[in-house]
Amino acid sequence: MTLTTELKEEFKDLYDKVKLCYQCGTCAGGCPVFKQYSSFNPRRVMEKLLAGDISAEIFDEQQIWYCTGCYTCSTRCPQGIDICHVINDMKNIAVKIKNAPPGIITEMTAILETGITAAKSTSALRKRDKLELPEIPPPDMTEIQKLMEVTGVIAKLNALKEDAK
Amino acid sequence: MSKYAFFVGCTIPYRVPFIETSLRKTLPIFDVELVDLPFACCPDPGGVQAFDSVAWHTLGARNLCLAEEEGLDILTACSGCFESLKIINTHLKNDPDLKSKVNEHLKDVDREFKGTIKINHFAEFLYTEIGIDKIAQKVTNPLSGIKIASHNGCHFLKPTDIMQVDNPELPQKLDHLLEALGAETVPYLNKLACCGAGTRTTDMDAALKIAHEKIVGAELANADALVTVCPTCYVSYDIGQRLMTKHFEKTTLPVFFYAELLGLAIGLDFSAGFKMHTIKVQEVLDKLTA
Repeated sequence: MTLTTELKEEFKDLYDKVKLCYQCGTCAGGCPVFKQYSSFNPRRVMEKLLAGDISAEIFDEQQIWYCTGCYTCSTRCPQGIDICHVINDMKNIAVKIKNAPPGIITEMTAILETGITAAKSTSALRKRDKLELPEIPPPDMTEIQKLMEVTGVIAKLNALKEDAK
Repeated sequence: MSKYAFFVGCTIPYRVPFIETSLRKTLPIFDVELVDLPFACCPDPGGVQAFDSVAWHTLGARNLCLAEEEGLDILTACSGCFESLKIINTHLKNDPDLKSKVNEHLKDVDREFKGTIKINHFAEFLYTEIGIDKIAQKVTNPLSGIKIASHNGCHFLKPTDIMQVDNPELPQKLDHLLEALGAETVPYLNKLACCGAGTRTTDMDAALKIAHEKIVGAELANADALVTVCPTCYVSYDIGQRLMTKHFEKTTLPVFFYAELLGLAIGLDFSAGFKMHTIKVQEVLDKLTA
């Protein structure tokens, strides 16, 4: 897959954010995911960005979606690179080129339909009753849906769902 | 009584509602009144932020607007909600371009982010606003005789420049909060480790392996229980231990949310909620009354 001009611009922003990286590997050393699943290596992700790999291959791979978002790498990077946030930016680009795990689509759909991510299951509601907990005021769904529309979430979600077919 | 907008989130009310009970019962004892507002998802710092950063800021700003309109600071007990709301609040206060972009979207729902409120996490709030001494004074049933492995989790502390709660590499406030209840805290292997929840949507097995390391560390230190201040971490370890049996030998380390132990120590009865834990906690309760 080739990147559009707009995405190439975003890619350049990413390069600027990581250009101070000297590949020491502190990020990988502290990464809780890398410890258990060595295919996800934040140092390698940085290496690819530094190499200026704009073939979109790094966004096509599922690897970046393994980042758990713990910010350990960002906390420890001796060059002060916010690696965790850079990977989040990469995920934003991955969504634009329609590469997102099914779990994300499910979650965004849940928010679009109910405003929240956790299902109000019968068993959950029964537990709330038993604990004599009050009803939580529901969010105004027209507002939530409007905001998801104007920020382009609905269009992106539809594109992903279409692609998944 | 000081009033706060209670940001209960998604996980607490519909996955682990007994944690909500522990909060609604303990906080008023410290003169905190919780006000429920029609908030939506914070939104999730993992999924929604990964999907679209501007949408994440906008949906989060809508929640902030609801509290601003009531003139209330937010109090949350979910570290994910704390992270999202605090980052979004900070970014919008400091980045005029982002703020105008977000406010442009909010106009469509007749709202405007102004930047007038503060976001609090209940554990940080207890430590800084209530104070260790005041908490210790309320303790009627000290939690003596049990060893606790405290788990701060990631989003309570990081990203550090914004959260500014504690030292992410050597956090101590949670241990002090536990010691105020008369409990003994133990140092243990993998104390700083992440619960792995962020990887769940991508690969459940990898997430469970990450979470398992923590259980091993706490067991090696002979901890009687693991204590969290985040409902997502709680789920990773309590319900997670049952799922981990797919890969590892069965473990039965009881997991508590801090407010549950706070309630126990100040004499509240949470027995209905304790029955809803996946890993049985009776052994710990017996040790406390022995």
